[in-house]
Amino acid sequence: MTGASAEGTPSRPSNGPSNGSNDDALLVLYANGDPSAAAELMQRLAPRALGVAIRVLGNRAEAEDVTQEAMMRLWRMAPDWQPGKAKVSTWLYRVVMNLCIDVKRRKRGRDVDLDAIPEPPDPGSSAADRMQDLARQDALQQALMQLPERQRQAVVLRHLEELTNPEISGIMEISVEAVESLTARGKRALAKCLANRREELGYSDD
Amino acid sequence: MTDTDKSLSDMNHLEDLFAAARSEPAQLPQALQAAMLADAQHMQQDRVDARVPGGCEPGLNPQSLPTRLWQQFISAVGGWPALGGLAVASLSGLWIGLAPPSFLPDPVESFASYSSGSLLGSDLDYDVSFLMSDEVFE
Repeated sequence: MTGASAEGTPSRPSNGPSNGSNDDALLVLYANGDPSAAAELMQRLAPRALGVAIRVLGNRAEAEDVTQEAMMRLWRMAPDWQPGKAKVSTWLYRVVMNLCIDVKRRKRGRDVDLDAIPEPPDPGSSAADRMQDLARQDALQQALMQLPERQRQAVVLRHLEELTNPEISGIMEISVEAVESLTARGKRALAKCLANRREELGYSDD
Repeated sequence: MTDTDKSLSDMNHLEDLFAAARSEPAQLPQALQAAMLADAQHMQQDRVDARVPGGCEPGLNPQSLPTRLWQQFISAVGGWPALGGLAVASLSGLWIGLAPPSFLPDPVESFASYSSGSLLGSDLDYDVSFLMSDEVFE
């Protein structure tokens, strides 16, 4: 529910899947001084911001700093937000991406933090399977870090966040065609990189 | 296995890796959640303070317009110390005007003498005597 009350104050969105208009309404509530709107917004948006930042930066501590700074900018701009003009999540992704670029510029040449990627907690799988899952996710992260910055951003947004090309176009401020080109090239490069580790990662050639 | 087959297989493996990564969304650490909420609350409180001059606590009645104007005046002249100096200077000026030192002319005395002496004592007397003279009644 995203409508406004008779007094023009947005009503609280119901619980449900995150969507742009719910985020809009929560942001307006926050700007109007609602004390609980911030917690709801944080639960909706911050995990996605953190996930993207971890994948793009390859470092959890830096990703957490980026997420906190991005959310701080969200709190700051809340009074100026114009509901319906853009999606809050798109705005936040763009801020996260720009902050990630800033971080990467500051720390050129440092290694990937393999602890950045959480171990999948799958109680049904054996220890050997869990080790292999972890090795594969580490390999994916290492391969992502080999990509040029913009390719990595586009691949993460398209294939891990499952955003549409027009959404990615808005976040990265490039054309849809450029997004398609970046994701296609990025995916080919990832596949090539991982092909060299086929046996190591337990992929058979049959 | 041909190169094309291998390429397709690699793409499939990549899709599997993407799917596995998507199935494990990032978890927010408690410390990060607390820090973000603290930021949000500070920002919200700062805005409430900015809306009410003087940093009125939320829930209190806003100050009336005359009170705000008076506070703006005090602030414009430099605060309470400057206002005290202004009051002392004003009272001193008034006192010097009413009871000046001996080397200065006394404005109260000169005003009094002008009123009763020069105006009433000479011109008015003359006019009255003229009006009362026999020539007028004749």
